[in-house]
Amino acid sequence: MTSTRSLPGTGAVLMTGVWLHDPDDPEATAVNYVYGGGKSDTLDTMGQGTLYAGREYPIVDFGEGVNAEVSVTIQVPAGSTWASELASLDAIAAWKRTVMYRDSRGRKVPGVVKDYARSDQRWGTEVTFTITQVDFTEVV
Amino acid sequence: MLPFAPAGVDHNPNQHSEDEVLTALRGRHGTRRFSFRYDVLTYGLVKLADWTSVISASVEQNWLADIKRKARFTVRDTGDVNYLDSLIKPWARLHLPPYGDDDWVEWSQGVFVPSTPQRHADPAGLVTRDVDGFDLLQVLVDDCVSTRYSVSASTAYTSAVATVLASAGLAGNIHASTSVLPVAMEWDPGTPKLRVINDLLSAINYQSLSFDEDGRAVVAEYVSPAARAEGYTYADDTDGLIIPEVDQELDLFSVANQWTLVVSEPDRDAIYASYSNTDPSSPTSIPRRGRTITDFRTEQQAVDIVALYAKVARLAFEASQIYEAIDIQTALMPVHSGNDVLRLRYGPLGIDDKYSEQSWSMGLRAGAPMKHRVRRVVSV
Repeated sequence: MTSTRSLPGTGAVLMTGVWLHDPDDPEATAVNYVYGGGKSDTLDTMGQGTLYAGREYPIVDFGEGVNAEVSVTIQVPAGSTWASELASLDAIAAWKRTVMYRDSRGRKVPGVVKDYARSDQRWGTEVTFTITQVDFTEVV
Repeated sequence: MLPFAPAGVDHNPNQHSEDEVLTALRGRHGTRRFSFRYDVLTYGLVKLADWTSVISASVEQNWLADIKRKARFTVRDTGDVNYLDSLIKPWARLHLPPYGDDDWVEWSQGVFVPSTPQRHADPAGLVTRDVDGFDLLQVLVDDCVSTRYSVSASTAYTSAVATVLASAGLAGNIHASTSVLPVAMEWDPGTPKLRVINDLLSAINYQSLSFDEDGRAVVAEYVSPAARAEGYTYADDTDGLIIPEVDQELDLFSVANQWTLVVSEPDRDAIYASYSNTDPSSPTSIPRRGRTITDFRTEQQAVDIVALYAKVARLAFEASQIYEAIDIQTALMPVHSGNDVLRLRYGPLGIDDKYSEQSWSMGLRAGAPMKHRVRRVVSV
């Protein structure tokens, strides 16, 4: 893998909905799902608390790791793009590789897809899944 | 115990003080932060690489075992370690305020000879290995004398030990003794070199061979726990790190109150040394029990009657230590070495005394409990 350094620049990226892509090849693989039904994230620092004799409150030991997840709901409305959008989501869910998740609130999370589920709706299909962040070094 | 504040910038880059380290270890600010790393070494103790494929690890120490320290590593099978010619050295790192990149201290947890491990594949296709590690005493268990091995009379005992260590490619910190062999000693072909060394050390009342956390052999005089300073105090106070489940064992039934050792070798007169516990304040003494329970041992090694008396007194002292054993669990404390002397204070069992540590074990994971078995130091 090669990498180059450039001078820093400033700018803003405006996104709509949810974007998913291969972190090593965003241009060719990025897919935009405009109707993001809902996104939320959690961060667990995985502290282990123990109450020791003689103390009133526990001591919490922390390691190096954190567990970060984004819960995502995507709405795929019925129409001409319904089948292709669902197929692309299915493919990403079965990818077994790191996917880059980005959304309209500025989240940028390299992770793996877990708990992928589809449910039929009157207006189309609702897809839910979780992105669990992985240890990933981005090369620019 | 290991030094709380390691010397040198390699393992204490910002030279944090002992007080700072103790404050962090005791979790006085409510939290503690650990990380762990693993070195791959040559048998010459030169670092080859970082071992980054470790998923989990644990270490255990048992001072009474032949192989005193063992470890287990579960690793992703990446083929980055040659298990046949490498050693593994795990490090436990404690991070300290203000938690900058160089605000940490770290302690080695031993140097281990890895086994050639089994591989496992899980349903997801992840291939792992469970690697057992043994401290460098394993080298001396595996390395046996190939012919009849003898050490001639008038050789200094510790010189003879150094020679055997060197023959196995090992070095150590040797506290030299002036004692010399009164007659030649011999061992049969096939005798492990560890046995040769421990026979020699036993004859001059040295402690059995061990290795320190950096993989150096330790050859030193035996010093009773009573004569050693306490390395740390575990107590149920506001600095306490004891998990409040403590087991105490008290078994007086089979404790001997008379010990006799006999040196019987073909080229010298037999020597006897006996030690009786006649102290009325001792619950196991001959007058208190009204009977004698004898521990009689032949085929002993000792340079002279003085050494044999020292040995029988040591045996009597150590035999008495089985009489009270305590199992405790504490927070992770990666500062323990072998045969540490500790003070233990625990109100619910009325415990407040000095103990020697027989064994400990811990997972190398933040938040993992550390198990200790300590024995009470009692004069019989």
